[in-house]
Amino acid sequence: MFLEIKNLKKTYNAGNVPFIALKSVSMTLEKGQICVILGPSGSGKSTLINILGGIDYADEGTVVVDGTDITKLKDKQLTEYRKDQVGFVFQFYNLIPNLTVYENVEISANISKDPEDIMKMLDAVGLKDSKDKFPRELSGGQQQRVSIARALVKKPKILLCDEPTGALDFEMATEVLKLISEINRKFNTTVLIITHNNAIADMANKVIKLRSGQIVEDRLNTNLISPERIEW
Amino acid sequence: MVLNKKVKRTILENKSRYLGSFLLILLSCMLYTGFNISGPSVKHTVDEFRKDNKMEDASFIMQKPIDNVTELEREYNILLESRKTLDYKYDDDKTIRILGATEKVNKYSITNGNALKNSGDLLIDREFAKANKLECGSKIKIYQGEYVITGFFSTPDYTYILKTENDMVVNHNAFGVALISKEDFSNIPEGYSYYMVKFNEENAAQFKEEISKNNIIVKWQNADEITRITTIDGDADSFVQVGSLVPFIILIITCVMVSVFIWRLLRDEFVQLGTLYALGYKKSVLLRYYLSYPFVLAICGGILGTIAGVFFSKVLMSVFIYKYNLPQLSGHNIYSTLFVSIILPFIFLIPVTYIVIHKALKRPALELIKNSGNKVKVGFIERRLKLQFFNFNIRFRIKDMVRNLQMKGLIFVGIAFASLLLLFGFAANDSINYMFTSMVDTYTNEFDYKFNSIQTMAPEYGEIESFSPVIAKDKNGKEITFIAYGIDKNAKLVKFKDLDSNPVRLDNTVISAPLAAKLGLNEGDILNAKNKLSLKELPIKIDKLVEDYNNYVYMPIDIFNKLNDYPQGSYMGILSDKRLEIDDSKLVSVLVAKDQKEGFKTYMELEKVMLGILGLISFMIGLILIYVITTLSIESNKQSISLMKILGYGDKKIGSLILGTNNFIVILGYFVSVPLILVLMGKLFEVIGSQMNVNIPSRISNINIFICFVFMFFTYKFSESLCKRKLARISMADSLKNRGE
Repeated sequence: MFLEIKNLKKTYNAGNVPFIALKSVSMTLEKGQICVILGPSGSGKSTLINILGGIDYADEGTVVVDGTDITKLKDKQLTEYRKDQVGFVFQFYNLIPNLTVYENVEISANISKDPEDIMKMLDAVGLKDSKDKFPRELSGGQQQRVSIARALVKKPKILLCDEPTGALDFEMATEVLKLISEINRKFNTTVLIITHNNAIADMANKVIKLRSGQIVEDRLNTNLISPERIEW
Repeated sequence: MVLNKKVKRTILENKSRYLGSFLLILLSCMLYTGFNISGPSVKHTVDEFRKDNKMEDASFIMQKPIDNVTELEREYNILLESRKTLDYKYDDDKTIRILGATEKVNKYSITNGNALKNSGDLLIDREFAKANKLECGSKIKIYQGEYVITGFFSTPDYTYILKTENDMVVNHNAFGVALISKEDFSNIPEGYSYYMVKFNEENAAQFKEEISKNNIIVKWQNADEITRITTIDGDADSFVQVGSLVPFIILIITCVMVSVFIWRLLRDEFVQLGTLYALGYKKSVLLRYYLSYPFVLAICGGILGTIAGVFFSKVLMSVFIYKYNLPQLSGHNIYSTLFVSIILPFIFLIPVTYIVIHKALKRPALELIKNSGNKVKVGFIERRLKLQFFNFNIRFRIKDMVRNLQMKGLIFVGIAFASLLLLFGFAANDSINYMFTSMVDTYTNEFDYKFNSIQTMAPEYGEIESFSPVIAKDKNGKEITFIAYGIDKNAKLVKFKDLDSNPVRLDNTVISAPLAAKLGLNEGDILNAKNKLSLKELPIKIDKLVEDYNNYVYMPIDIFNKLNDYPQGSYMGILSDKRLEIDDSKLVSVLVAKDQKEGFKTYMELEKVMLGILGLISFMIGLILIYVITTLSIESNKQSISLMKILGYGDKKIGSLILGTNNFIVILGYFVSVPLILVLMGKLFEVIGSQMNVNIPSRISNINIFICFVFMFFTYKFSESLCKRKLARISMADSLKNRGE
């Protein structure tokens, strides 16, 4: 088992009113699988991915990633965890505007012990020729590809994608999903995607639906569809 | 208006930057008020004092008394009065110079107590009295007579109570002046008389010629050559200069800083601005709203700074009161200074921030709502930088520096300025120290006895010297006055060094290097000077240039006497390494090296207070500026910092990438200020030195350069540590909320 979440609970206090984001969530994921987490706004998707990514803390429960319970890690250890094991892809790319494409990837490679070759990574995402461009000179899809290259250059064990196609039109979204799928195959990277878009679930090995902080559906998808055939 | 509530909230949300700006404005207004009340008040008081009390234009000693004073006064439209004086040994190490009260020239003012009324009344200078625990009513014995102190006094020719013309600093404990009536003085056989003259026309030369006809002028000194009279002018002028420079520089720096963060505030609120436009808000309303930020800063900083400045001026004036013997200091142009001080921050802040705000508000509402003008642009320089040979960390820092040139420039200027202030104190300290050490190294005598007439009898002990004021034309054709000395060629108590620090034999005629530079002379040249008293031409052949701050020429005494037609073997002073028994009535002054050293120590104690104040101001400026600018820099990089945290960068690494370039800026700013302070001090000393007739060298020791550097770097690191706390507080969630680039 690569990922095992047990009885994960998280409550936020908005003023004096507690808001329960996660109510005893449990799930598992095997190495190299793609998992899509679906759910409406406020269902707890982002909280789950944030805890999994080591940028938020659980109140209760355990999150074991590749044998390490990350809920037990101290701040410094969580930083090391994020540095060595996790790759993030955001809905709005979060590139650094003053750095070139190459440098945006390099900022991640710079702290990695054994990074992938940056040019190889840019080649893999189809942006080798745009290496000296700045983010604002690229389309949304291209920016998201830079963000994926940035996440993968440090060879993470798990790739966490928060609405990776949310800001893209259909063609660009398909391109990005294709890339994620290729990366998953090529590097055997475990991928966790959170999205509103039900159609994306067709490319995942595992589909989890969240509602009001609880898992309402957890199924394996045996009928995998390649991203270019997905439509919405 | 609802918007006004936002002003208060925004200020409270960003307390540190508004507090920092407020403190800088407060500091500049405080310094402006402090220096501009104290400097001009002192100048005004001194000017009025000199005018009301008829300060001398010159004082002189004649070989024989003048017997036609009234005639001369009428003929030359002058005030002429003689005054008797003597240096009385109050104690083994203490001297009181007793002066006869005058009625026409150098009249005295009472600062406390009562004027001289009865025989046996005596007035004394306040600081000597204080240092020696003397009060009104205390009794002092002078020779056989007993005198009662009836009050404290000041006189315009003794504002800076120096014992001799060679003294640099006062020693209130060892030397003071006292005044008794002419009648009482006539009962004391000791002492000698000199004349004081006040001219009403430009006829000093004719007057001198007239009195020289059947008599000899032994000594003549114009008031503007007497250090005890002129030192206060240089001091007050330097206050006026500091007051008209330092506060303005602080205000300019503050103004740029406030403009930067007002622009950042506007940039962060583009969407809100556009929304307010869309809701129907007028540009003028929004302009007023954003102007209220600098307005609040200016009004708070201006008023509180001005109030603090009034107290600060009292501190500064108390320094003058301690150092100088002045009548009651009266404020001059106080209300206009207070008014200017309060409106100064407005004059600086409002127009500049108006331009910044106007620039943002003229954008169309749609552009503001879309925030399309707020996209980060990559500058021309940044695009053209070829940095591929550097590693990522270096490239990141260089790009960060280029991208934030404005803010880095502000840190650079701020650090350079704060360092200048700090170095100013140390350089002043070192320069005075150098002067003193140089004097002690040159003159190793313990006593210097100056006679009131030419002596011809060989002394029992000591080394003879002679001296006379001479005039010569400098390189620009302007007449300058300095002292020419004759000295025993076998003397051991005076030691000169040439420009390579090698000893110079006293059978050479030497000139001090700064004077030679002024006169455009080199070794081997002839100096064409004139004796100021006799107007006799003196062609002096210069053998050597010597390293010293003073303006002088020294030659073997036999050459001096020959040039001046003085009898061979005659002299006017004795240098000695031990106390000599010489009749007081023959002496003009006795210089005691030990008193000078004591005075210097006291002076250095005062200097330490000044160093402390300058250190505090530098620390405040450095701390506030680095903190506010770095905080702005952190906030504008908030998204990147948050993202870097997600990527796995630790706080330390982020700190080194984002704040690392400041190390370089701070070091550069500091080391630029070192040569700059020497140049600025040189200019300032030129002004002060010209009034004291010395060349004050501009020096700063390596150890003090290092100490100042450590201080500034500590200030920076302290400020950086505060910023790092801010950096650590940036949440990773900021990056998750980010929309777009």
